[in-house]
Amino acid sequence: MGVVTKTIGTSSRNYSTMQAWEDALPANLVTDGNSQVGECYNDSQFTGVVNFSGSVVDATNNVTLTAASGQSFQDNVNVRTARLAYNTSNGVHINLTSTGLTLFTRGYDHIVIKRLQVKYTTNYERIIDENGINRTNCIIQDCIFAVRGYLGKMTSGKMRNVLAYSTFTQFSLTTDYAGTNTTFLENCTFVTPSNITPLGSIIGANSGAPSARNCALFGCLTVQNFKNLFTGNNNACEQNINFGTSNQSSVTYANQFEQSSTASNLEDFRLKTGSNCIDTGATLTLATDISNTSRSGSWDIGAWETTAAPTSFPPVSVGMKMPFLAM
Amino acid sequence: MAEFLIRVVDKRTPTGYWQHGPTGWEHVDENRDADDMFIDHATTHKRGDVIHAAPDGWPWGSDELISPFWRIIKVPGLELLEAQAMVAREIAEDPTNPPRTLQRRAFRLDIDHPSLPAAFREYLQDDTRASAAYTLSINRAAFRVLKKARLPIPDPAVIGGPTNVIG
Repeated sequence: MGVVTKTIGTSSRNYSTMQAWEDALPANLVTDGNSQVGECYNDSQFTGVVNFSGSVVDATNNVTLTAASGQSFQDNVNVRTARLAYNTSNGVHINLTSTGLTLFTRGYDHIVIKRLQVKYTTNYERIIDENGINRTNCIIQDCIFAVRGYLGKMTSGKMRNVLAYSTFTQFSLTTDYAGTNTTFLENCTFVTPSNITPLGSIIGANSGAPSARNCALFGCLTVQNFKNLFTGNNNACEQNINFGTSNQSSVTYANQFEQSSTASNLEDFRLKTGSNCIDTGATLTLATDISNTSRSGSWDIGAWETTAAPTSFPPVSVGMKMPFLAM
Repeated sequence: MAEFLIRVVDKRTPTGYWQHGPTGWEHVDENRDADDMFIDHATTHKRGDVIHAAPDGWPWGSDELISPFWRIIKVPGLELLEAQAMVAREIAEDPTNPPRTLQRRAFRLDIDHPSLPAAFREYLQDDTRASAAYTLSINRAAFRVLKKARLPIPDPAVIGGPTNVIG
C-alpha cells in the first residue's frame, strides 16, 4: 500500500481548493491501492467547504486532509507561548463566511482531518455533518474551531485534541445516530467564552452511546442535554457532571484558562496555573496535545497539556565560590 | 469575470451508475452485487458540475490545469456571487428528513447546449488541454440558459420509489 500526497493552496500547488483535491480522489481507493493525503499550505485563506463522498475506502486505503509540514498552527515556533485560539497568523486557516454551508460533510468512512484552524462567522452553521449516517473510523484531531455557536453533528468517530469555542452564542456539539454509535471525544476543550451568556448544554446526544473523556467543558447551564446518554471519565466543568467517574465537577470557570473571554479578541484557552484540569486526566491513547507536546505523568484534561517550567540556575562566573563547593 | 473549474467526465463509483434517459432514470449495471446505486450516483460529481467558482485571475493548481476530467472556463462579466451559486448543494424538500440521494450540486452547467460555439466543444474534447482555459463570452442571460437544475434522484427507501429497485 502506498500513499499519494497532493498539495493544496494558491501558490503553485496541485490543487487550489480542498474540494478539487477531494473530487480528484479515485472512486475506489481500495482497488487503487493507495491512501490519499491532501496537504494544505498557508498561501492564503481557505474559504470553501469539503464534501467527502463517492469514494470506496477501507482502513488501509483511507483519506487524510491536513496541513503540510511547517504550515499548521501546531508547527508555529511560538506554539507553546502564543495564545491558544484561532489565529490567521499561526498557520493554515479556513474562514467560512457564507450561509448554508457545512465545512466537512463526511460521506464515507476512514477520513482523518487534522492540524487545521477553522472559523465560521455565519449564524448556526456547521463544521461537521454526517447526515445521520454512521461513519467508521473518522477522526478529527489537533484542530481549532471558532464557531458562532453550533459545532455540528457527529454520528461516530473520534475527536481528539480539539479546541472548539463559540464567538456569538452558547457552544454546542451534538452526536446522533439511530443505533449504537461510537463517538469518542477525547482531550477536547469545548468552551462558551465567559463573556457569552450560557443558554443550555454544551454537549448532547439524541441517540447512541457517545463517550467523553478528559474533556474540558465550560460555559453552560448543564453539561449534556436531557437524554443523558454520555458516558466517560475525567472531564471538567463548572456545572455538575452527571455521568462517569473521576470528574472535576462544579469547579470555578474563571480559574481554568489564561483568558476565557473573547471580548477583546485576546482569548487564550491554554490552562492557567491552578486550573482544576491540570494533572487530573486519565492516560488515553494519543500521547500528545494540540500543540504536539508530549503528555506525560498525570495527563491534563482538555486539548492543552501544561508542562513544567524548566529549572533555572544562577549564572556562574569563573572563580566564584559556590556554597556547595566551599572547602 | 468569474472562472469555473468544471467536470467534463462523470465520476463514477464502482457500483454502477444512473443516468437520466428518455423514460426517466436508467441504471447502468456495472456490478450486479451493487447496493445503493442511487446513493452512489448522488454522491459523485458529474459532467457539467462546477467544482469551484472563483474570481478573476484565480491561481489554479497544476493538476487542475491539466486533468482530463476538468476544464477551466472563464466567463467575462459574470458576477462572482452568481457564479458561486453553481456550487450550492441540492436542498431537501424536508430538511428535517433529508433523502439519502441529495446531490452534491443543485445545478449543472449545460456545456453541451447547442448555442455554444464549436471552438468551445473542441476545447471540451481536448484531453491534452492545449489551452489551459477557455473564455466563454456570453452575457448573464445566456449564462442562465446554460444553468440547469439537477433532477432529484428518488430515494429507493421511500415508498413509491422506482419499481425496478430491489428493496
